Amino acid sequence: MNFRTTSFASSSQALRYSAQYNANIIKYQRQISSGLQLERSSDDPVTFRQVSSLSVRLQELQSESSTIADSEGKLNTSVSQLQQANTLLVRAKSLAQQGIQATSTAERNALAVEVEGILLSLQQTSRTEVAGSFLYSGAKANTEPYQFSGPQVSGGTLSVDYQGSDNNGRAYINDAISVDTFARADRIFSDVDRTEAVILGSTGAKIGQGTDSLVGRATLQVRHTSTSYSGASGVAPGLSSVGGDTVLGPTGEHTLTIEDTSGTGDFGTVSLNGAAAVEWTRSDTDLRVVSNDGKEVFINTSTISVGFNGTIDITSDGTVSVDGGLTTTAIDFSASQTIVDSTTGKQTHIDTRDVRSTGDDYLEFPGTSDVFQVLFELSQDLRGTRDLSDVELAESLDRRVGDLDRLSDHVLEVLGKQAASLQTLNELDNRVIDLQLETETRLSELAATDIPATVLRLQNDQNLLEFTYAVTAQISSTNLLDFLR
Amino acid sequence: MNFGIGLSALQASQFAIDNVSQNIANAGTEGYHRQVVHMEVRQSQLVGRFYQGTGVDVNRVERVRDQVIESVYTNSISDLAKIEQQNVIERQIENYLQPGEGTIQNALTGFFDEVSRLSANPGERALRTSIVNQGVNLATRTRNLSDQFGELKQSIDQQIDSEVDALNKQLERLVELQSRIETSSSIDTPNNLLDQRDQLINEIAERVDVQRVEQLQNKLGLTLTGSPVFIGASPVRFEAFSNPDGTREIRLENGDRPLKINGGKIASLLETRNSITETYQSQVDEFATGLMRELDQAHATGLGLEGPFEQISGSRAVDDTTVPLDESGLAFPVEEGELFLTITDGNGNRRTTGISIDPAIDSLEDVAANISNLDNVQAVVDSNTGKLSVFAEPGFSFDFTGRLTTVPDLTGFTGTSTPQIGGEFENPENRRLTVSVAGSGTIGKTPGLVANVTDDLGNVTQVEIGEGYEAGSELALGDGTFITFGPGDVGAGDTFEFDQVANSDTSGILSALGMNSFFEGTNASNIAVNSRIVDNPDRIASSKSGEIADTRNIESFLVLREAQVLQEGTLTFEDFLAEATAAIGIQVQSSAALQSSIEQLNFEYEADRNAISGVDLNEELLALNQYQKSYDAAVQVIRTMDSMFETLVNIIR
Repeated sequence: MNFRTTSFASSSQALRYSAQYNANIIKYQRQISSGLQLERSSDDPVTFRQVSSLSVRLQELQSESSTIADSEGKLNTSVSQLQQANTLLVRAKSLAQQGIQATSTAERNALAVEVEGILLSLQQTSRTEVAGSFLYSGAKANTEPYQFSGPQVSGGTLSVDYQGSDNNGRAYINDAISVDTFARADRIFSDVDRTEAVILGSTGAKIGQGTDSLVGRATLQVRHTSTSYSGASGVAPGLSSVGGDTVLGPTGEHTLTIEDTSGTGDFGTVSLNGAAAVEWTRSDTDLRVVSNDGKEVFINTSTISVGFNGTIDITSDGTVSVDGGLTTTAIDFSASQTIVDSTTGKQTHIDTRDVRSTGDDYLEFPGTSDVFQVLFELSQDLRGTRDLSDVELAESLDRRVGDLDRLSDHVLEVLGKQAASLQTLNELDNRVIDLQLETETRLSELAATDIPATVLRLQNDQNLLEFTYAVTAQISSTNLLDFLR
Repeated sequence: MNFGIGLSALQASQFAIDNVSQNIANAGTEGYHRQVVHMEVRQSQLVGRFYQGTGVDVNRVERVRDQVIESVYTNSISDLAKIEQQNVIERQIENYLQPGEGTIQNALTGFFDEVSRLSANPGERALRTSIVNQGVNLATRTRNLSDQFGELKQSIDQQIDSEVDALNKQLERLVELQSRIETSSSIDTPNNLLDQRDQLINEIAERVDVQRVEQLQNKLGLTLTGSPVFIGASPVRFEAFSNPDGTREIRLENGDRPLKINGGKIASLLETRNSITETYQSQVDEFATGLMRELDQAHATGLGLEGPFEQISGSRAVDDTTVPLDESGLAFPVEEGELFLTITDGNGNRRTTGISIDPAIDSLEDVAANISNLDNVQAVVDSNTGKLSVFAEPGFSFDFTGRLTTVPDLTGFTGTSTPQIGGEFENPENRRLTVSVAGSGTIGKTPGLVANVTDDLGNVTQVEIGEGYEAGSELALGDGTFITFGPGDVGAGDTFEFDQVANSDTSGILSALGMNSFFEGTNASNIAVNSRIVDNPDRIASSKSGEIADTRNIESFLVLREAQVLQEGTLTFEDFLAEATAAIGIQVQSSAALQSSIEQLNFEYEADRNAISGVDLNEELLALNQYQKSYDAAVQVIRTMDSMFETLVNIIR
């Protein structure tokens, strides 16, 4: 190897190293100024990849944190509203208990006013909105959850039509964690736990075999349709019989005792079910005959058989209806007749074997009314709209207390679930904040400039650059010409 | 007395001093080799019985060089030019893929973040607009990236053309120079021309790999791109050629085979053009098509706030509507599977029916016919545009959510009770259920009345519908669904069937045809947000029902964020971009390291070359001093001779 050294070699060496040190100095200046150690992937591909992943993760965590905060806001509002609702239900229960003890109509009316106030408050609660969205309409957050209207049929309960969605509205914190933020009101303010139906009235109808689907309350309308009389008495239904007869029952359950006291069929006496006899004449076409227990028939005695004396069987048919007479079902005096409410399609089963008179019976389906219906029913009972006896009223109010207990427990259960979700969200939020901090720390470790170390490197390269210049200047100034001069 | 000796010394010294001056003058000239004057003793004369010297002659001027070092240096120039060029292009690609504000990575993350926010605030319409904006931003960034790669390829193509052109000109100059060298060589060694030739070869080496084969009498053979080339009367010419597949190659003019170029800028340009740039552009396309395929498929099976459709047209077309889908030029591949349409009547009753799709057999026309076979919908294919449109009859609407049928087909059901289905199916697999009534009787009344629910695997669930069952109440079927029986009677053997649909399009045809898609376009160069969504952000399919806070379909989008769907199911979208950035980073780092290493070698080879051929000014000054003294001495010799001659002449005077 030849060790000749030329000035060209010396200068190109100086250029090379000064370029290198200058590049490093610029790089360190940039790192210190920007605070970032890595600017390009090629600076350190593996670390840069980690930084990219961490940056994406940090952004995801920030997004999760934002979603959690929004969801917490909704759940907090909901929990607060449900706490308030539960307080109102407890108050309503207390009012119902006071109603049982109340001795005057005025006192009960005062209680009813407060119950109606609670009903209005709870209806308002069901319409709670957050940022313009109804909180209890499920996924249909732009629609009011309920449409309330008076009873559809006489003796019925408040009509509560849930208009919300069948699905909860859900917020997704990430692809694995979600939380229900828009709940269904029909799953909060209602909790069906059907128990045996109750029938109040005097028609003789009883609860039949089978599972009902009617909810709340209904009026069982028992109506007369036709009466026929057995044997050859010649007695016939009177002009008002169809609408006026109040007896109902298969053949032989009611009897008519006729005596032709004239012997010519011109006049005599007649009695229903052995009650006091009523006089009749051949001209009577719509004679009212009343039994001891107030049942009555209208008869036509114009065609009565001459000289007839005796007791004949009455066959009296009728119908029942639970939709205010919109549809009727012929009574077949069986152990279980299915009666359908045509307005809702729901049904009940009635034992009509002992139905003996027409009238309106009150049906109750305990465990099926929602919060609003129970409060409505409670207020109605306190106002005495069904003309119940004191005992029946007390029993009805007691059933309302049971309903309110059940619904209050249910609201508490929903409240508990939402509170638990809220707690989970809080914990998740804390975890996300921790993770954010951890990710930021890790990002800082990987991506941020280590200022002291970089300053030292900068100083080192500055020194080297100065040395390069100095040594190059020294070499350049030393040449033979100096010696020759 | 002979003045000749002194004169020869004077002339030789003068020549040598001129040579030193030439060296000093060209000390900084690139490609210059220092020259050394070699002198020789003149032929002696016989004077008396002695041979007497007659002076000195310049024998030759030698160009100081080492052939091996020159050759190695030339190779290193070629290697360095190649890696420098490669590094420039790779750094450009790295710039394109660099994450940061306004990049595709940010747009993607921003898009998913906004989708996530919508699930928490479904009522905020501004968020829907924001999602559309983020989607537009994402599509724009993707298109920009694709355009950047297209422009890069175009720019590389232009550079290849200009480099080949420059190479051809250099080869022409080389032939011309060689001719002058050979002409001059008959007189003397044309050192300066040879320097020019060496320099020219090194310049050629910057473009292609070259090896010199130096021959006698200054003739030259070259190995260019691995092929021996004789530098003779006419120059060799190269041409850049475009292949039908879009790749570029270099051929000898009028040649039919590509040359394998291993060094120089042109090798690097070809490699980055055909391989590296193509790879990353393909990755951008894979990202775009994967994003469109997966997101559009999820979007297609959801519903916007407008609810089910009365009419919808696909945004993607087939080339031929009559051939099987596999051959029809669909944007994305379709698999054999089922497509479920949910048709809703004016009362909100739904029925969900599946049609089978076999892309090996069914053409788009067949698919349309199968859809039209369903009641209340009609599908039409426009043979001019190759797109599918589906219409509902008046009073009906349809969608592709696969929601549960509400009132099943009761053709095989004789009872007066009306069964209904509800809930949200949560099983990941599609299922078909058959419900059969065992016995007959009245719902909610007859003791022991049951219905058997059998799935397509033969699993049977029995539900009580007689006494103890409240007519119309929900009977859980598992997986989030339920059945109800309304009041009335059922007959023995009454039966009906319905589908529980988890995936309403197992074939993937919806995204392939762009039905209810979020994006439109088929690749990275034409991806865009579907104009019907840009026009009305309420059409973003966030739900499965059209209800404002139903965010069930958002879950599908969020699942996509974490789904490994790219790179043969190994990477998420965000990971894919990060991997691409890391890969080019590694490539740049590796190229930079290689460049540094080759630069170091090149620097050393250059130093070695300079050590032999470079001009050392000190050395030249010494030589100058030496020849100056020789010159002075020669003058002194002549002066002495002149004095001697003067003395002699004075004797005569």
